[in-house]
Amino acid sequence: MSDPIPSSAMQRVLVAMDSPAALYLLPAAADLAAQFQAELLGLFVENTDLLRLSGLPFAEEVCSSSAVARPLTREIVECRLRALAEQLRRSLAETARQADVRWSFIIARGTVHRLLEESTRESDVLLLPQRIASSEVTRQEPPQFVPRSPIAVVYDGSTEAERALAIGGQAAERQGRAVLVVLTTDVSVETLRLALDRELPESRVEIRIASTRIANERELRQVILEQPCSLLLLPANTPLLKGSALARLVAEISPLVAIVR
Amino acid sequence: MNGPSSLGATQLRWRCDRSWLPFQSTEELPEMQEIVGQARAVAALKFGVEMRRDGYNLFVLGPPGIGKRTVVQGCLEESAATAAVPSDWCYVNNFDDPRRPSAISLPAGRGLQFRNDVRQLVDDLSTSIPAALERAEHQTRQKSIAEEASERQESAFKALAHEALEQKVQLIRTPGGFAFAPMHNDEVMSAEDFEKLPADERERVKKQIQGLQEKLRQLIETVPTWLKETRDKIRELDRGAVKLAIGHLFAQAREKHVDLPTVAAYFAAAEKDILERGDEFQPSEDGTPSPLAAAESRPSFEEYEVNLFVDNSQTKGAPIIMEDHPSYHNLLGRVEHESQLGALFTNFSLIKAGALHRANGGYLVLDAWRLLQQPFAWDALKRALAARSIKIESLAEVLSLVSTVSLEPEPIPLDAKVVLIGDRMLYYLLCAYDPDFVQQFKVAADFEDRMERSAESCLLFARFLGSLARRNKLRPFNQAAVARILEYGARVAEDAEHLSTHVQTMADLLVESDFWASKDSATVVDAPHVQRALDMQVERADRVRDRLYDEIRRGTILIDLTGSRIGQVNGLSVLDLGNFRFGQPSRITATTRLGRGEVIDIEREVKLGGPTHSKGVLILSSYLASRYAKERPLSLGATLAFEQSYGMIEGDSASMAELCAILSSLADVPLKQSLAITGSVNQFGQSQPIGGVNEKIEGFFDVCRAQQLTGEQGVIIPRTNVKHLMLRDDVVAAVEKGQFHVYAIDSVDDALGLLTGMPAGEADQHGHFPAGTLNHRIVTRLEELQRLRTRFGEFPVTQARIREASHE
Repeated sequence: MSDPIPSSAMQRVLVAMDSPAALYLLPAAADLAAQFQAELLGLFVENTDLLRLSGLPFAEEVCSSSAVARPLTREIVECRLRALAEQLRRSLAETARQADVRWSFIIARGTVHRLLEESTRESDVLLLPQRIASSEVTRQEPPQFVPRSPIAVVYDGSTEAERALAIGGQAAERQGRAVLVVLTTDVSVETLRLALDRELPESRVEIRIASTRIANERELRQVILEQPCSLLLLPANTPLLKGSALARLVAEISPLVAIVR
Repeated sequence: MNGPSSLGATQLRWRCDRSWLPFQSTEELPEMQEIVGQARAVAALKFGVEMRRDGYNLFVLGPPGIGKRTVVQGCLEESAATAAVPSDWCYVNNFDDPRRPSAISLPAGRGLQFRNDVRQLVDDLSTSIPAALERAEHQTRQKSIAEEASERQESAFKALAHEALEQKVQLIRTPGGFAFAPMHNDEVMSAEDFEKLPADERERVKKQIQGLQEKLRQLIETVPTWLKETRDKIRELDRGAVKLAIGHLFAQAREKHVDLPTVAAYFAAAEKDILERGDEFQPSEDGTPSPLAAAESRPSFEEYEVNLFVDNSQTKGAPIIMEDHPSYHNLLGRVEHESQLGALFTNFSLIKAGALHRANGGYLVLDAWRLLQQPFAWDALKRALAARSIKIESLAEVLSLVSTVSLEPEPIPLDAKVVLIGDRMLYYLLCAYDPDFVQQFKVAADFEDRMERSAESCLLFARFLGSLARRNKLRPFNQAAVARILEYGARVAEDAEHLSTHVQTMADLLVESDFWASKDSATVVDAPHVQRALDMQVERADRVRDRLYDEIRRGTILIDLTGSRIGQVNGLSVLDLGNFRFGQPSRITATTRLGRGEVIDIEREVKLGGPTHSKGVLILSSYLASRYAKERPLSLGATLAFEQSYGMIEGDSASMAELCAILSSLADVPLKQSLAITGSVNQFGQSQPIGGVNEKIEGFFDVCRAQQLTGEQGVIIPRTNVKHLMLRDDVVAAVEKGQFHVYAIDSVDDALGLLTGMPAGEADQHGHFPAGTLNHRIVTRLEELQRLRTRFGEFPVTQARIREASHE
C-alpha cells in the first residue's frame, strides 16, 4: 500500500455550489470538516454551457419568478456569475470561521459532471447540492433532515467504499448516530464484516444493514426513501452512478450526498 | 325700641331644660338610623333615588362633616336592597373587527359561568386542535398533497425539457431563471457554429426556441396557481381536521347557554373563526409560543377567552359604588397594554371596567370636589350621562395626542344614578357656570347645618346621640351629659335658639367624652366628662390665644381696661385658627380736624382693610353727614386706625366702635376703657348683628379677668345678637356676681350713652339737640369747624390755584 494516510483520515471536504440554494450544504460540510480536522473546500462551477449560450445572438433568459424573458449576453452572465461566486465565497468563509476549520474557495469553468468527476479525484469527500442536476423551480427550502437519523454508506467492496465506511462510522459515533450500510449485490456480508473489523475495530457504533441489496441507482434511491438518513456516503467511481445517475439520485433524495474518494 | 341694658345671666346662655330629656341615660332611648335635622335633605334624596328618569342625578350639598355621606349611603342601601341585581358584562373578541371588541350582557352570575365554560372550552381547544393537526394520518396526507404538487411541477418542467431535447434544444438553468440553448453534438451550440448554419435554419432555430420560451413562460405563470391550489387543499384538509376536533366541544359549551342568544352568537362566531383559521393553529416547530405572537397574525387561543368585565355574581341588590379617586380612567375604564420586548400590545382581555361600569344598574357616589380636580373626568361623566352609554377611550385618543391603532370597545348602555357630594359653594358655582350640570343633576339635597331647638328636637337629638354612641361602641351618656352636649350644639350653631347638626363635631365630642369617662373608670358618661372634653379641645388649640392675652397683660399690646380716653375705644375681633376661634380686643383710635367730611381709614389706605370693612367706614361717614350736617357742609376730617394691627382686617363688626371713637374725638368727650364694643352700624345709626359674638365677649372677659375684674367692665353688643348668646359658665357667673356686664344696644346713641356716661340727646322737631347732651356738643363742634372752614378752609386751595396759574 502506497497510501500512508489512514483510511479514516480526511484531508478535504468539498462542497459543490452553483447557486445560493446550495448554501444549506455548508453547515453540514463544515461540521464534517471540523470532526476530521479537514479543509473545507468550496467549488463554484461556472457552467460553460451557459456561457456558450450567452454568445448566441438570440439568447434569452426567462425569469423564474416573473416569467419575463430578458436578453442574455455574455457580459450579463459573467457579471452575475461573479456576483454569485462572491456571495457564496463569503458565506463559505463565515461558516468556516464559525466552525473553526480551514477553508478555500475555487471557481472552475466547465460542465458540471466533468468538474465533479475531476474534483472527486482531488477530494476525500464531495457534497453535492440537489439543484445541480435538477430543473425544479418551485422548491425554495432546503431538504428536511430527520433528527438522529443514521448515516448511510453504500458499500461495494472498493477501497473508496472502505473509506466511506470508516468516515461514516467515525462521524456516526461522534454524533451518536447509527450507520446504515447499503450493500451492492456483488458484496457479501462477510466481506463487509471484514471491512468493519479493519476500518472500525474499536468502534461501538451501531451498524445496520439494509435489507435490500442494490444493483443500480434506482434501487439505491428506493432504499434511501424507505429508510430516512441524514447523510449518504457514496464511494467514488462506483458503477452505480455512471452518467447522469448521480445527478438524478442527488435531485430526488433528501439526505446530503457525499462522494468519498 | 328698648334703651341700653345690662343683660341678666339667663339671657347670656340657654340651659337645657332637663324635663325635655325624660331618661336616665341614652341606653333607654330607641335606636335612630337617620340623621337628625335633615328631613328636607333626606326627602330630596329619596325623591332623587326613586325617580328613574334622565337627568335626575343628585347633588348632595352641605358643609363638610355634617354626615352627608352617611345619610346618602343609608338612603341608597335602603333603595338598593330591594332593587334587581344588574347584568354581568363581558367583553369578547370581535372576530370580524378585533379593534372593536364586542360587549355581551348576561344575567347576574351567568357571566362568571360563561367565562369559566369558555375557559374550559379554550383549554380543550388548545389541546384538541394541535393534536388533530399533528396526527400522523393528517401529516401524511399533508405531505402527500405537497408531494403531488411538487411532482406536478417537476413533471411539467421535465416534459418541457424533454420536448426541447427532442428538438435538439437544452433547457439550461441560469442565475435568474431558465434559458433554451440549441444543441450541437451533445453540447450547446457555439455562436460560431450557429453562424455557419444557413439563414433559414438559423431562423427555424430561433422560432423553435421562441416557441419553447413561450411555453416555459406560460408554465412559470401557472406555478403560482398550482401553489395556491396546493395551499387551498392543505387548508381545506386542516379545516376538516379542526372541524372534527372542535365540533363536539362547541356543542357542549353551547348547550349550557342555550337560553342566551348573544352567547350562542358568540360561540357561532368563535367556531367559524377557528374553522376559517384552522391551518394557522399549526404549532411552531419548537412547540413554544412566539414572544411576538401578538404582533404576528398567528392566532392565539387567548383570543377566544372571555373578559368578565363586570361580575355581579356576589352582588346583592343594586350596586353602590363609592369611588374615592374619580380620575378619568377610574370612572370610564381603560384599555391596558402589555409590554413584550419593548413593544406594547393590547386586546379585549385588557379592557378594565371603571366605576361607572361597576355602578351600572345601581348608584355611583362621588366627591364633587375630587371629581372636578381630575382632568377631563367631569366632562367625561357628563358625556356618559347625556349619552346614557359608557365609551372607553384613552385620554390620548380623546385629546388626539396620539393616533396609534388601539381598541374601540363597544359602548355599554349606562343606567346608573350618580350622586355627587360637595359643599354649597361648589353647587352654586356649577349651577351658574355649567348648563350641563343643571340638566344632569336635577335633584339637590341640601343639608342643614342647624336645626330648631325645641323639646321635641332636643329629645330627637338625644336619641341620635344615643345611637351614635352605640354605633361607636361608647358608654351611655346620662341626662346631664346629653344636656351639656345639646348646649354645646347651640354654641356651635352660634344660636341659643338652634342646635348644630354637624355630626362630625358631635361624634368627636362623644368619643372624647367617653375617653375622659374611661379615665374616671365611669360606666356612664356624665356632664363633667363632656365639659372636660370641651375644655381639653380648647386647651389643645389655644396656644396662640394665650400668647396674645399674655402680651396684653404685659402691656406689649396696648389695651386700657380702666379709665377714659378721648377718641379711643376697645373694639373686638375674632381670630379663626381653623379648629379654634377666640376673641381679641383691639384698640381703635380716631382723630378729628378741620376737613371736607372725609374719613380716612388707615387700614384701607395701606390695603390692610377688606372691602366689607371699608364699606362699614363709608357707612359711618354717611351717618355723620346725614345726622349732623344735613344742611351744611360737613367740615370734618377724621382718621381711623386699628392700633397694633399688622394683618388684614375684614368685616364691618367694628364700625360701631369706630363711629363712637370719631364722635368721642369730635365732642371731646372721653370713652370708658372698661367697656368693649362690637357691632356694625347702618346709615341711620342703628346697631346691627355681627358674628362670633360669644367669642368676642369671652375674649374681653378673659383679658379683663387676667388683670382683675373691676365690676365696671363689660361688652356692648347689638341687641339683635342676644339670641345668639351661649357664653361660658364662668362669664355667666361673673355677670351674676356683678363683676362683668353685657349690654345690649339698639343704636349708636345707646352706645355713646354707655361709653361716655352722658346722655346722647334726641333732636327736637327743628333738629336741635338739648344742651348738655353729647350730640349737642358734637353739633356745636361741627359748627365751629364750619366757621373755621369758612374763614380759612378755602385759602390753601386758592393759593394753590394761583401757583398753578403762575406756572402756566
